Amino acid sequence: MAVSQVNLRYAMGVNMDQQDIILSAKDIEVKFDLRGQILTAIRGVSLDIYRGETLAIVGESGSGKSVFTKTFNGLLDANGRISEGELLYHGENLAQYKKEKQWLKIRGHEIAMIMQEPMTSLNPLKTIGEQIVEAIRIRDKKLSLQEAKKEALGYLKEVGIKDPERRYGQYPHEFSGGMRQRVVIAIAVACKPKILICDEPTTALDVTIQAQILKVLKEMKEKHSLTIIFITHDLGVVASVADRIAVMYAGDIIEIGMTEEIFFDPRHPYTWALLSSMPQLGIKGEDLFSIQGNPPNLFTEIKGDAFAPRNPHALKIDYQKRPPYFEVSATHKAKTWLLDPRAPKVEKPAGIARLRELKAN
Amino acid sequence: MAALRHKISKKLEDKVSDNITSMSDEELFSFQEYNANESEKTAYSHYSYWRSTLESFKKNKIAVFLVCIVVGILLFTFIQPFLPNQYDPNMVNNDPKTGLQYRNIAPCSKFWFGTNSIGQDLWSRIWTGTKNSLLIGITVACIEALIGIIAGVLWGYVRQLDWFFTEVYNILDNIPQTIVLILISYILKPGVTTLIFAMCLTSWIQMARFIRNQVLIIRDREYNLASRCVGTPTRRIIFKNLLPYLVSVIMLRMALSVPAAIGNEVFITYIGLGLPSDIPSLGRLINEGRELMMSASLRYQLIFPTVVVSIVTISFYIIGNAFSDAADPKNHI
Amino acid sequence: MSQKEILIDVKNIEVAFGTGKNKFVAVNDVSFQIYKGETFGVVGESGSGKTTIGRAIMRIHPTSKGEIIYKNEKINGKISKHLDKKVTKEIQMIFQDPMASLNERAKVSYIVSEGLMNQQKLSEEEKEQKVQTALREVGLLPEFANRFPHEFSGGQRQRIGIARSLIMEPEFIIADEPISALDVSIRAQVLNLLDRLQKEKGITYLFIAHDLSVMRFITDRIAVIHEGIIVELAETEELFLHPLHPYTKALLSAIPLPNPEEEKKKVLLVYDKEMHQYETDKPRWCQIRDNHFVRANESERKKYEEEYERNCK
Repeated sequence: MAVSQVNLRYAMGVNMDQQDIILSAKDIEVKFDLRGQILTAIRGVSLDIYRGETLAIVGESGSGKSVFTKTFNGLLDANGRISEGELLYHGENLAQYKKEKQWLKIRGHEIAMIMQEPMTSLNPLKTIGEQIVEAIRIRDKKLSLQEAKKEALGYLKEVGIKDPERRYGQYPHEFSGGMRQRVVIAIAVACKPKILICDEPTTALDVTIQAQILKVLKEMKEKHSLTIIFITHDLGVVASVADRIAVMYAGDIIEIGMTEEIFFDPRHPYTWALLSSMPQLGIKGEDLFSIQGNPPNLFTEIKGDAFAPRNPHALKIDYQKRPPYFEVSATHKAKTWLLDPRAPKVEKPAGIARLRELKAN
Repeated sequence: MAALRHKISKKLEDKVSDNITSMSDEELFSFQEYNANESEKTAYSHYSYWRSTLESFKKNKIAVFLVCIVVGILLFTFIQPFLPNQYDPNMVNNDPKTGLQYRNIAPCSKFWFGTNSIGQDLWSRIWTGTKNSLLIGITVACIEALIGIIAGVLWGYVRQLDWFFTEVYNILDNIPQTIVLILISYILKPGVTTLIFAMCLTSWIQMARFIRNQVLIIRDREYNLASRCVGTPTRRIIFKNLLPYLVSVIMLRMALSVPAAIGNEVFITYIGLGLPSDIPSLGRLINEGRELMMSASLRYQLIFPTVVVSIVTISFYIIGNAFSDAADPKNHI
Repeated sequence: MSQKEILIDVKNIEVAFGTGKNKFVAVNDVSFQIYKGETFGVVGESGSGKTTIGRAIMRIHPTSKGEIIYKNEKINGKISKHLDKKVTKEIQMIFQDPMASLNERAKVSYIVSEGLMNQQKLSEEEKEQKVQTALREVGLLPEFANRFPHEFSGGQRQRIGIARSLIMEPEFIIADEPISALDVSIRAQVLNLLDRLQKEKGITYLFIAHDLSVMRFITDRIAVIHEGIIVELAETEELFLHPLHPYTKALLSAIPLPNPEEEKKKVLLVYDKEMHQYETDKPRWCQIRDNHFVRANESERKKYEEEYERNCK
């Protein structure tokens, strides 16, 4: 390991026995001013992201998964702000960044982002080749046009676009949704970022295309040693790509662990619900497990466990006091009072057991 | 791990004294009854489209100020004749001593804005003129909107009528409006009705086209398909599904029509085909003032009406734009 | 099994957009039958024409060829006023995007009762009563009737859309990707609701989706459609156990498995229609087993039969 990195870790005050942390969020709280009211979208989230891992952040819409990652590259809407906490990246506290100019160094070059709808990040008036070349030359200003073009063709080939020479000169509207998303990936990677945030990159796509895009992402990660943060509402999608999964609910990470731990040994009732409501686990003729109700209103202060009103297994204490993290293993922790030694035993839903059987087979 | 648990239980004990929980551990860790209906309740968001529009409009201080100005001017034009010491706008004032007309008297305490070349009080003429011009503008905007909306919605929504309206549009759009204005004013008896008629005769098609484009954008949205699928008649789809979505853009168009109509009136009167001389309007006042523009001492006769026209025109433009921004739900933060 | 009553019979329909050079055939010679009380699935990717089929039955898109028979009456093309009213009542549609399919400027009570008011004159009390019943049936609270759609989450809005259909007491519902715009956590709610309504009211569904994973749970039979042509049709379990057409196999392999170990080992199949040699040997609609059809030419048919045999062993 390079000396500078070791020093860096000292600078960040991280334990030496831990893995190499690339980005560290500490007690992040994000607030929005909305029509005279204050909405607390992120309620004190701490998260370490390790170099070279794929971390999936899973949660339903409104859980704050997108908002949380938008703080990493300063893309919060104008009425939002990080009201508390630190975001440490290479010894710098990104949470203190105020000016657009500071973010320009980070955005794209250090931390890049892929959105759900590829058209929002492509310029419809420029050929895709030009757009990749642009990204390359922003990164490396000395590069000649010829060299940049050669590199761009390489990226197109890498993301699986056939006949790159011809495609190079085409406009985004000539591409299908899946191909556009590949182009977006190529542009993002061309900036040589350290971290790639993928915000539901496959939600708008067909299943067959979705599977292909996931494959491309995996390949790109290996080739360019990226750290990937993958945001999705569908646990099924991340099974193959993620090393670690963080489950978000109402602006908080309520459970985090290695992918196997989350799938085969989930502890939080919300994770149970998310897993067992997947239609793949349903049995024809029987009801699917389903979560009733709606996520809580983040305009008001949440007392206790945010999931309690929708949780058929809620304890009285869930309405009183916010649960802390209980460690299940060195890599797995969950915020639920059910893990407290004083809590009664609760049966997991049948779907979870079915998942275990799947594993056993 | 054990240490962690210990720490947590310790924290818990602290909490008991916090009087948030006066329950024992055993009770705390018992199941709470679950109510499915309770979880279905949503937080009432208190969002209302019109209130939010008003809120964001109020944030634009200049626009609010201009609304006050325009409303103030309009109200004042109605109040002004009833104030003490006002002159009739059409009365030719004579000097009681000499019996001669008060010609071209510069602003003074008797005639606040002075008099014109035949001794009419400019102050009262300006306010009456403003009233007339504004009313013409507003009437034109309303008629234009009424015809334009009906035609535009039919044009956009009923496919069979598309070619018909398109042809009408092609014809009307190719006739310059100035020619229509001049021709109608020339043929018919000059008067307020003639002027309004001339202005509305062709301008509604622009409104109709605008509405048509808007309708085309939303006509095949899923909520309209859904209404069609349950057999809702076209008339109800127009009133319940289409128009409510267009109110904000229609208001903007109307706000911009008012100054346009005033401008047309000024133009028509300027070339001598406008309102009869006993109906003061901003156009007539400017025309009278223009003739005296070259002599410096009489320039006040041009300056006062132009200032009013400028204020009214600029106000409507800014108010219209501010309103359209405010009416866009994307700006409802 | 063979005595099932046919509710809707789609015969060789074609739906084309545009004319002359710009003509685009979205649905090409598609035929299938839907039995009363079953859930028939149509699965395909975007642009495959699956939504167009649903909309052709809904009479939103006119058909350029073929017939759609509902209860022994032809419902496409010009039909009588009386039949139009009947079909409008009995066939309902649930739309894909709950954010776009509700009129934002109308109250929930209006949205839900809209269809009912087109059918009959009702007093305010009767209307209110029916709206509340419909809302309760889809698991919403009656007091929601006086609110506007934007106050609800995606799942709730989709249920409002279902209530709008239910109030008409339909016999046949076309569900056009009713859950693909919803969060996974909410999908189960809506699927359970559709399932329950079928059990209670015997409603027949045409369920359109791009994702086979949902299909296994909800449908009885599935038609796989690719570029406007049905390539395989079979009973659901049969299709999952013995998929024959390479496109069906590709779709199946793309289903995300909720199991990280399996998923990491999975081989992804990709379908390319160039793989068929249809120049001389033209494809036909072949029956391989009872109720299992596939589009194949003669040599492919033999291959599929052999493959099936091998699979059964």
